[in-house]
Parts: sequence; C-alpha cells; structure tokens
Amino acid sequence: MVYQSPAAPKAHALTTDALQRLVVLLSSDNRSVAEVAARVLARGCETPEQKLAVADVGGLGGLLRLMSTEELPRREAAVDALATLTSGSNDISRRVADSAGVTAQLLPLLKSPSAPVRFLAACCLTNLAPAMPSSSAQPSQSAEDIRRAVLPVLAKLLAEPEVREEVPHVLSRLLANNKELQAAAADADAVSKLAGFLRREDCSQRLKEGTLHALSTLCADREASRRLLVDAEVVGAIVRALDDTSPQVRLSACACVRSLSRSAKSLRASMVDQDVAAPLFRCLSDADREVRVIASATLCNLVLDFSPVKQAMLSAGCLPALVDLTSSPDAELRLNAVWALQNLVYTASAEVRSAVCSALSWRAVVDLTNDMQTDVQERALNMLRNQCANILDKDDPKKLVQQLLQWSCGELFGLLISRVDAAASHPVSHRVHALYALCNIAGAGEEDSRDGMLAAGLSPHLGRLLREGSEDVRLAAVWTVINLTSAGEARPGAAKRVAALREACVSAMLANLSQRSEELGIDLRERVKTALDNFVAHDMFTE
Amino acid sequence: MSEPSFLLRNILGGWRRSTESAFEAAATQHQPQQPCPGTYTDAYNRFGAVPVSLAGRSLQANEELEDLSPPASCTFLQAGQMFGGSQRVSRLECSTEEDWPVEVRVEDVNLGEGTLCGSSTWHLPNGKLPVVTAWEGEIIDNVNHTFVTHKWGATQQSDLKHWSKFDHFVPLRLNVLQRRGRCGYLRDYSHIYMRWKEQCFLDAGEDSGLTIAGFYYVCMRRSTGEVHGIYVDPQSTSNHHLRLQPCTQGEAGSQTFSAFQFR
Repeated sequence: MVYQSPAAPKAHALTTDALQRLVVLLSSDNRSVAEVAARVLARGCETPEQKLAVADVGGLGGLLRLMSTEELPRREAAVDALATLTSGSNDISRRVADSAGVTAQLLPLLKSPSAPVRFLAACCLTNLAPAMPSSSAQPSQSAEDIRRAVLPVLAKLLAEPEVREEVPHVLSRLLANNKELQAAAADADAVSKLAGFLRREDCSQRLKEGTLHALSTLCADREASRRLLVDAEVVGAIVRALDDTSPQVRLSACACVRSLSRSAKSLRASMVDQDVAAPLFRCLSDADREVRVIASATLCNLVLDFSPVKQAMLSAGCLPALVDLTSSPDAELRLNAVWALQNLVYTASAEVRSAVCSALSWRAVVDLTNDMQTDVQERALNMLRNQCANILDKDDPKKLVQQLLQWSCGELFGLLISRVDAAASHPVSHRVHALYALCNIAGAGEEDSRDGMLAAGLSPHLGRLLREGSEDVRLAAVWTVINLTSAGEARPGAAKRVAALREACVSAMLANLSQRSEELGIDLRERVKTALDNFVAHDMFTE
Repeated sequence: MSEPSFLLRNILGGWRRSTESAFEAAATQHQPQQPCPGTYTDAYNRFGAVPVSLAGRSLQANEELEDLSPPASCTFLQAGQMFGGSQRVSRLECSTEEDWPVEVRVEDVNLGEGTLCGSSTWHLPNGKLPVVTAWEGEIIDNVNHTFVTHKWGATQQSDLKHWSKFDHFVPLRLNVLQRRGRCGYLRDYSHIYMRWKEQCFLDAGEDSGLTIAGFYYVCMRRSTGEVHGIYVDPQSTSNHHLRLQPCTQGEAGSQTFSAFQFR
C-alpha cells in the first residue's frame, strides 16, 4: 500500500503498456487490487501523454465506476487518481465533467473527516469547474456554485499540515480570473493565512511557490487584499524570494511584487523601505524566460514617478536594460519594455526624459510604432505623448520639446499626423495617443512647433476627426485646437493659426458640435465652448 | 425613528444633535408644507412635478425623474493632472494670514471605486526644503461616496456647514438633504465634489509645523479645472482655503495630458 501516501516515490517510467494493465485492474473483483491500481495511477501519471494514455484506454470510465461504489477506500482512491488526471488537462477535465453525477459524488467528500480526502475532492472539483456544462441539469452544480462550495474547504485546509503544501496551488487555480471569489477568499482570511507561511522558517520551496502565486492572484486586482498583505509585514520575505534558487519561486515572487505595485497607493505603501531594485533587476536577465517576462512586467509599475523605488531602479541600470529589450525577438518582452519606458517618462523630470532620448534611438521608436503587435505600437505612441507633456518643476518644457523634435530629425510631426489620419485604419486608441502627443507639443512647445504641425498638414485631419470621431478622439482633437489657438504674449502666431484652422473648417465643425451639444458628454461640451471662445476672441480682436 | 413634534423641532433649532439624521431633519424643516416626510414623493407626483432647471431655484428631489449616476468624467480629474496654487492659512496666535504655495499631482484615479490619490508639495514660508505629503481622495459619486463623511470627526452638521461654503453647492443643498447625502444632479453638474485627506509625509518633514490631522472638502469646476478646498481640522476652529489651478506653465493654452497604465 505504499502508493497510498502522497509522499510515495513517483514512478516516472510507467509505460503505456503498464498503464493499460493498471486500468484493467481498476475493474478487478478484488477490492484491494482495484484500490491499489487507482493509487498507483494517482502517483504514476505525471506527463500529459501518460494522462491521455490512461484516458484513451478507458481509465476514466474505470475510475468513475470505482467512484460510484459503496466503499469509501475505493472511492477515495478513485478521487486521488482523478485529481491527478484532471490537473492541468482541460481535455480530461471536460471528459470527466461530462459524465453524469460526478459532481454529486464529489461534493459530499468535501465534508470527509479526512483532510487528504477533502483536499483531493476540492482539487478535482476545482479542475472540473471550468469544464462544467453551462446548462447543468441541476442548477446547484453550476461552475460558480462548485467554486463557492470548494473555497471555504480549501481555506480551512491551509491549516492542515498533512496537505498544506499543495493547497495554495489549487487555491490559485480556483481563484484565477474570478474577482468575486478572490474577494470571498480574502474575507475567509486567506491572505493572512498564506502570509503566515512566508514567516515560517520551515516553509518549503513548494509551499513558498504556491503561497506566493496564490497571494499574487489574490492581490492582482483588489486593493483591500494588497492592504492586508502589506499589513501582514511579509513584503520583505517576498522581496527575498526574488533571489530564491528555484525559478518557480522567483517567478511567483515577481508576480507577487507586480500585484502589490498595481495601484499608486499600494505601490507607495508596499515598496517603501524595500531593497527591491537590485533583485528585480537581476530577474530581468534570469535564465528562465517566464521570470524575465514577469520581472519586466513588474518593472512597468516600479518605474512610475510616484514609485518609491524609481530612482533605485534607474541607478541599478534599468534604462539601458529596457532599451535592449525593446529590440528583443520575444514579443512579450518587447511589449513590457516599451510599456515600462512609457511609464518611466510619465510625469518624469526633464533629466529622465532626456536620458530616454539619449538611450533610445529615434529609429528604434519608429520601429516600435510599426511593430507587428498593435499593443507595442500603442505603448510607443503613449510614450511619445508622455515625453511631450509639461513638467511641473522649473525645468523648461520648451527645451524638452525642442530636444524631441531634434531627436526625431524632424520626423515627429509626420509620424504623429500619419497616426491621426482618420482615413487610415489605425485603432482608435492609437489616434488618441497621437493626438494628445500633438496637443502636448502645442501646449508645451514654442511657436515654431505649433506652426510646424499645421505646416505638416494637421488642420484637415482635425476638421475630419471633429466631424466623425468618437467622444475620446473628439476630446483630444478639441484640446489640440485649444492649445493651437489660445492667445498670449508668447503666442503672436495665434491669429494666423486661427485663420488656418478656420480655412480647414475646424471652427465650423466646432460650431456644429456645439449646436448638437445635448448629444455630447459634459466634458466635451465644455471644451468645445472653450475652443469656440478662442476663435471668437480672435474675431473680436481683428474686427 | 419617530418624528419629534414640530414644536420640539423648533426648540432643537438648526440641526439635531449627533445621533439622529441631521440630513433628514433638515429636509423636513425646509419643507414645512410636507407634514410627513415619508410621502413627499407622492405629493410631488400629485402636483405634477417637472425637472427643475439647474439655473433657477433649489433643486428638489424627484425620485422618478432624477438620475443618481456618478459625475461624468472630467479632463482635469485624471491621473497625471498637476495643479499649482496656494493655501491661505489663518493663524490664531498671530492673527495674520499667510499663503503657502503648493503643487498638487493627481497620481491615480479610479472612477469605478470613486477614489483618487496624489501628492502635494508644500513650500512653507520658513524657506526650508519643501514638505511633500501623500493624500487620498473620495469623489462624491452617489455610489461609493455621498456628501455625508461619516468619519474623520465630521458630523452631518459640520458636513453641511462646510459644503454650503461652496457657492455652487447651495442649489444642490435641498436635494442632498432630501436624499440624505446623495444628489440627483451630479452627472452633468458644473462642479465635482470630493474629500481629500492627507495620509503621511513623504519627505522627512518633521518640525515643519504642518499638521495632516484634518481633511479637505473639495470642489472642482469642470470648465476650468479650478479647485477650491476647505481644510477642516477637528482640533481647530479656523478653516484654511486651498485654491488650485491646473498647471499650464502660467500660459493659457498650455494644457497637456500624460497617461500611464499599470501592468
């Protein structure tokens, strides 16, 4: 009966032939033989190929028959094997879920006095839930109902030393992409229980990996859970796990730091006083690709201007590393790199923005705006938009805009206007970022840059976008018009630009919009008013 | 809750004290023609109520016609928006007023949860290094937050007293009273109301003399992005007025817009 123990040695080399014999034994009249056969299958099927082999020779049917027997030991052995076979295999999960009555047999086992049995039943049900037929004959057995039944059982099992090591892994699977259940898990104290493991000296790598992964899932979208995790005072342990010898632990630790850094409030509270920069920077060049991907995604958040570790990340050398990654053949790494650069220059000092111009060639920017992935293009345009925005401190934004124009060797307007073009088939979000980049240059730059974008042919596009754009596009277009037409001592060319925009029917389009103002949101209505006022002010001045 | 007699209401005068709903009590006081507050909707319907113009008299509650949706988005209330301005500080001990220059950054806005957060950089008159504070805000959106603060030492009476200091709150006042803190006109209203509360000092600003014990009632004008905040400190009777303009480098037509996304 050695295979009954989860600690039993895994039989790596079970051949298809051996598996086939075991499946036959499941139907043995000898109860013990059938039970042992199921236990051996539970321990012996590791690879997807082995699992499919068992399924293909009728193993699922044999196990389900075993499940429906009256005797508990045989049923438990069957659940053990089913938990193994359904883990990580959607195909097998679907085949099991399709068989009548399986959940009805599993649900009572959640109340078993034996912790391992409760765990295996919870594991099985977690695997089956996504595969449940959508129109179940019994309404109490919908995927959501099953998950809700499993959650409290798993939460309690976190306190059972016998099965604890595997519970967080199953919990992560149960909670994936399910915000309601994530909130319910936090209410069931899951965050603090999991955090408790990270404080223990005897936390194995397997437990640590599962715990960090489950915490990253719990905190991915929920501010209250992030708060709980910070209050549990384990952020130091999470950061130390970035240097763990196991790549799976490093990966889960990165994911956890990422989840903690996904709001300004939590980013500030969790990362302050943490030496996260150096270990995270090391993860950027980890031997494991998955670690590199999640580390670069995490970096996107940590380089924001309100991040307490932004300066430390820069000092660690993240800028040249990110610039290198923008030309990576790996699409995910490229996206994360340009995303991080976009966030790095967001409301950043002139110094940081100049450093990005120096480190990243204009040619590379042009390549990014033409990347195979539209997401990469969008982030690159958003980066340009942020580069052109005003700076609050004494640094002169005009100089910065000048530098950008030089950086692009005069190509910036052409590139942005080609993305604004309503006749081209660019996604709306690209158009919005390109428009705001122009809007920002018009706002922060000097007269020659305002005149420059009109000379480059922007005016007719503005008219057309005001006529047919979505609310977002119109808003960006109207702000661009406002920045181009506002008068002031430093803006002697405003009258000329007003004339040019009127020529391109921009003022007529604005007047038209204001007549249909009940169709517009209040924000756009207000801006249309301001833009029209700018035109009227010039009329009064010239008449 | 049983209604006190009209006489008792008059004796109590103004606002009822703490335990009872001042908002509800005030609503009934403002409507002497409505003897029973539970039936005012019916009464309105009988008289064939029509939507009240935003410009004219007080806006009254009409549950069937009103829209309790949150304020529509506003360009000036976005992550990345910066403001410059000052806080007028009245000091009791020297009976003078000082203006403290301040720069404010909005760092994160979550309209779904009606929250925002940001930082403020204070330039204190003593000329030392600026003091930076982090703050969190709540948008009065009828969903997550109402005009009733329910914390930070505020009472319903003090809430109403301070909100009423904003000129453009006055037309909403009766509606807010009738709805016990919510308001039927926020979506397209000319102003957006918030509360901002400083959470901590980001730079070691000990001995700055600055206190962050209180919080701000905040009103933002949609059309211009101007912000007026009233700082209320439970320990102090004097209020400080914060006035901010969107940062445009001192020039009209210099409004710029950054954007970021968490990953």
